Amino acid sequence: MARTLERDDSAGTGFLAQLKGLSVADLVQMNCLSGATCNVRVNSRQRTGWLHFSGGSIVHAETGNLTGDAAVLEIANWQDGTFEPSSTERSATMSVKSSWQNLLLKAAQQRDELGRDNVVPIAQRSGGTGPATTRAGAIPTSTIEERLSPSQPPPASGRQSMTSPFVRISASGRIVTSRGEVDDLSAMAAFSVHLGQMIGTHLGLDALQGLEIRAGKQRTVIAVTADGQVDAMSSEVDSELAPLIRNAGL
Amino acid sequence: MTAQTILKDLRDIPGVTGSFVLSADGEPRLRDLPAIVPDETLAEVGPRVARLLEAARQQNDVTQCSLRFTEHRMYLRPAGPWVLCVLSDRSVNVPTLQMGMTLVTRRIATMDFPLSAGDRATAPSPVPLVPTPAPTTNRAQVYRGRRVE
Repeated sequence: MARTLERDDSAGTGFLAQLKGLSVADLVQMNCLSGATCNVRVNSRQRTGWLHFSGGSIVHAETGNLTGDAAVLEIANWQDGTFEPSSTERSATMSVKSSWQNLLLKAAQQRDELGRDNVVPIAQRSGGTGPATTRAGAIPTSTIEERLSPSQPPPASGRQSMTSPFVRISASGRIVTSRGEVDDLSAMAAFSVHLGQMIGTHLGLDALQGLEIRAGKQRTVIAVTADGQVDAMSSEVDSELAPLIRNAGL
Repeated sequence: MTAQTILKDLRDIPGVTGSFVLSADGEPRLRDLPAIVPDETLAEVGPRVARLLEAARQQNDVTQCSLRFTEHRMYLRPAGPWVLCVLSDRSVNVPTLQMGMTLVTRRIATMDFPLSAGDRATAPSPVPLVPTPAPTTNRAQVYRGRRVE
């Protein structure tokens, strides 16, 4: 795609700063809220991207083969690197269609979804001494419940949420996230889903979406997500299980 | 009232595809299923249902287990020494089915379904027992890493 560039006459004014700990989102907010017109080159590892601001909006972005909104989303998800003014060039292309607020929200949502598999199980954290980290290395486990996707049951308020075990298991059997004592629950859920799928296959049924097991007052609900993850929760409180029951179609 | 009649009663509930009864260890003892499900398939399914219930039992005995598939549901309900299994489509009226299952489990809990060909004949399947290969029969057998024909 041809890129039309022109000189940015506004370059050369203001501070040139070196700040640690900023994110691309911070950069976007600063430039847009101040109504800036400038070009910024963003470097992260082996990647380079350009963001072009004009009058408080992002008007153009590009990185690799991406331009416009997609490029902004890509760049906004880079976790570390540097950015610097790219004062000599300014794109006349108006490739970005969405507002910067909308783009930052989308980027945050994407980042959450991408990082979903990287959450360290609470069970692993309990024996540790230091603050827990994720494989991505940035998100403390104290935010696990905030990171639960809409397909997961939201933590119930009050004491119940601390006592009802919940576990999410990846398709490969790894515990992605958990709450409470889940050793038995995770094994039972994974095994039950495996057997349920086999039963369905033998009977010529379609894909298993979920199971519900009632034993005494205890109800265990197991939901199989589209990407093969298994969510399981045991509780005597129906309201706690409601979101998972809905997801499992039970 | 014969056991077979009891199972057939479940079909009065719209959406019920059929039902069968397993022993606690998963042996099929009674069936009222469409022809599309041969006995061999049921013999494959039975032990897995039993294992599923065994795995699900933690502190308390399982009173019911339901499996939701995209278009179908399967309900498993222990009944004395037996397990009642009901297949339905997703449109089934669940409370109605629950009541129907309660009545059936109450009746079959005290019945005896000995495992023999003769007894199967007294509780005839509504479908001919046509032998068809079970899904696992085509699976390659491997012994110590070598394929065995």
